[in-house]
Parts: sequence; structure tokens; C-alpha cells
Amino acid sequence: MTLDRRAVVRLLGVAGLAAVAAPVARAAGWATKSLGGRAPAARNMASVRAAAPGRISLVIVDSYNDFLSEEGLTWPMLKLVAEENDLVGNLLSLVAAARAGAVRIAFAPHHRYREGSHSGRKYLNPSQYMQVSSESFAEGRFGGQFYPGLAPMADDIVASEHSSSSGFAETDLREQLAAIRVSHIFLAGCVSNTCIEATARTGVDLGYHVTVVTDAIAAFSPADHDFAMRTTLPLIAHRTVTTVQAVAELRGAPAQVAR
Amino acid sequence: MTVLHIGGGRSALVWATAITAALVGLVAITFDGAWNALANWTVRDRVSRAMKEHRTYPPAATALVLVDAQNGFLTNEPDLSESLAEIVDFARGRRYRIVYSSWDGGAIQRFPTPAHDWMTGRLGSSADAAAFPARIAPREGDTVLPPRSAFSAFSGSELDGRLKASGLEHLVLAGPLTLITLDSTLRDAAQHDYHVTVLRAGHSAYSDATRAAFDRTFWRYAHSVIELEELQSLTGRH
Repeated sequence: MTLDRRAVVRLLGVAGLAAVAAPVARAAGWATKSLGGRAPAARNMASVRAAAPGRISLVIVDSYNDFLSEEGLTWPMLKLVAEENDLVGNLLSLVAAARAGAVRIAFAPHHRYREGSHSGRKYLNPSQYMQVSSESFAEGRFGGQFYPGLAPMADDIVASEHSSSSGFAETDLREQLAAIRVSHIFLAGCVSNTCIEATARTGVDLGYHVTVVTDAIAAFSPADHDFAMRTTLPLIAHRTVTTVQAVAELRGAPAQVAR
Repeated sequence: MTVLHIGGGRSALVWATAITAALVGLVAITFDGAWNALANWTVRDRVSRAMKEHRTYPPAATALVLVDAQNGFLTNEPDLSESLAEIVDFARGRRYRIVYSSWDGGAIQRFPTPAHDWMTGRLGSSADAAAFPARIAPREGDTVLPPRSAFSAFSGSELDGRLKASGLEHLVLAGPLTLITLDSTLRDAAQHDYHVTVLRAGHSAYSDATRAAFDRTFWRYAHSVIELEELQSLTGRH
């Protein structure tokens, strides 16, 4: 095979074009997904509020340094989707909007790795196995601390740590939400198809009205995130919304929803 | 003989590096998130090796949990019906406990999701929609749970309590509603400390969404996500 300089330049040219095209294509894909992920008009917030018997709470799942900081252990896995979505920026916007709108924020933190984590269990599930072997969200270390700005403040709810995936499973999240008569939750944080979706599923089974903010979540690959955002979350949750939409609703939400 | 005329040895390394970078770029474009895909594959491989030690399936400690294998959810899926029937026959042959969970929507949901609406519609589609097909109907000795309104067969404490009381630790899960109730049941089974195997029921005629659920999410909770044939060969010695 003979490859002259022009052929090489041509190949590099194609690669260069493709390299430029990739983020553009991805951004276009994301824009389409955002539109596709919009809530059906019939389930809009106006009807939700009219029927709401209780309060709204913003539930932030696993806002740890390990997930959200560039020095975090799991950040390299999350980075691609997190940066596309502006995950951190959107989470900060949601928290600010909830505080401005007097919406109670509930933090649902994952089990922090510590000596003997999960040792009482006979069958570690794959996620727990990975946590033990990687020591993620370690208690007393950087990774197990909340990301700056996404840490609980005085009036916030902090649930007990969830051991597997759902923020409700074997924790006091439900009791704490019940104590302030929450009926509607907005979900954001990590990870789209695991802890977020599991919390949404249990929340629905417990009778909550569940809204997932699909650009304030992220997964370990674009395809994982895309699958949750386009296929499962719109099916098993009540609504999927963008941060822009959620911010407007949280800011405007009265502390106590009518009736 | 292969000759690369790129003019001058001095720039050869630069060209080689550029071409490699370009090829890597092309691969990354072809598979969106190639790095993540590679990392996920590595993790999955490691997890699956670590989980293999649990794959013993002793008959006295193994249960097949059939989630919503009801007429209304199977009418348009001949492959799935046939596949579930083979799974039930297999479990009977191995003397596993068979647990039936079914969905009836319960009282009207306060906040129905699209999934609830769809399932309610399917159950209203015929008079026998809520019943189990005759070929996989429960027999004496099987465990039949009361119909539920939640996605997860573990909602409430009945299923977990009955399994633990009978010493059943190895769960084999199968059902037609992969994205809705099978998924929720799997997540809760993993939460409650069982050895969990999900069967990819349906003779490989999966929809893209079903395949994505098996391959993207289920392996993060289940110890194995396999075809019936693989479970048959794993349990052949019993």
C-alpha cells in the first residue's frame, strides 16, 4: 500500500471535520432529547397544583464530591453526561429556586463507605460490590462529603443513608417527608438509571407524585442516560421536565399547595 | 511490501500520532461515549466474575418469581408466552418454589403514571385479562400472592416475609413487563439481600427498549441476567 502526503492530509481533514461535528451532533441530539422529554400537556403543573393535597419537596440524591467534583472518584464515569447537561449548574439552580420559593429540600444520601460496609449482607449486589471495592463516598474523606453548594442547610431534610439504590428503601425519607405533609417530589442528582430511577419507582409505589428533572441528572454513559430519560422515566414517573421549567415552578410554588 | 511515503523521517512520528488520534476520534464518534462504554464493560466483567460464586441454585432455597404473567400483558406476545411456559416447566422440573405475583391496579391510583394507565388499559381489554394463562397457571404447592397495585412485587412486606420464612435466597425473576414491574421488582430484590437472576424471557425477540433494560440497567442490580438455556446448563447437575 502506498499512502502519499495528500492522502494523509485528506484523512486528517476528515478526522478534523468529524471531531468538530461530534459535539455539534451530540448537542443537537441533546436538544432533540430535551424536547422529547417535555411533559405531556395534560399533566402540567396547573392541574397538579389544583389536585395537590400536600406540599412539594425537592429531593436531591447523592450530591457527593465523588460524583460531582472533578477530583471525585466516580466523576470520570459521569463526566460526559454531566458536562453535556451542566449537571452541577442545574442542581445549583434548582436548590436556589427551591430556597427562593420556600420549597423544602430533602437530601437522600447514598451509603457512605466505611470499614465493614455491607458486611451484614450475604449477597452484595453489583453496585454494592463496586462501592466496597472502590471505597466510594467514603465517610470522613473528600468523596463522601457533599459538593459545595449542594450540602444540607439548617432547615433541610437529611434522610438516613440508602444502602442500595432507592432513597426510600429502608431509610427515614418517607417519615420525614410525611412529617411536613409532602405529596409531590421533584427528583434530581445521580445516577439517572440507578439511584434516581429507583427512588422514582419507590416514590411512585409509595403514592407520591414524582417529577424528574432530566437535565439535572446524569449517568455513566450517554446511552444509559438517554435510555432512562427517553424510555423508562417518562413511563414510570408522572412527569419529566427540564431545569428551566422546574426552576420556574419551584420559585413560584407556594409553601403550602392549595388544599 | 508496504511503503508509507510521508516525506522525511523527522515528521513520521508526528504523522503517526496524528493518524492514531484521528482514528481514536473516529471510534469515539462511532460509539458515543466509547470511554464510558469501555469502562462500563470492564466493571461489568469484573462484577460478573465476582458474582459467579453465588450461582448454585439449590432447589430448597430457590424460587422462580413470576411477575405479572397475566393474559392481558401477554396477548400480543406469542414468543413471550411460550418462553414463560418453558421457564415454568423448567422450574417445576427442578422443584423450585414458584411464586406468582399479579397486578390489578388496586383502588384507583391517586396519581396514575403513564405506566399505570397503560396497564389498566391492558387489563380492561378482555374478561380474562387479569388471569394467568392456563399453561402456566398455579398448582398446589405454589405460592400465589394477593394482587397488588404497586410496580414492585416486594411492595409491602408480604413477599419478602414469605421468602425469608421459607429460606428462599436464590430468586429467579421473569415476567413480561420488563420496563415497569420486572425492573421495580428486581431493584427491590437486590435491596433485600437475595441472590438475583433475571431471565431474558422472550426467545431473544426483544424490543430495543427491553434489550436496553437488560443490558444497561439490570446488570447493576442482578447477579446474572441470562437466557433460560444458560440457567439450565448451570443447574444441570441437580
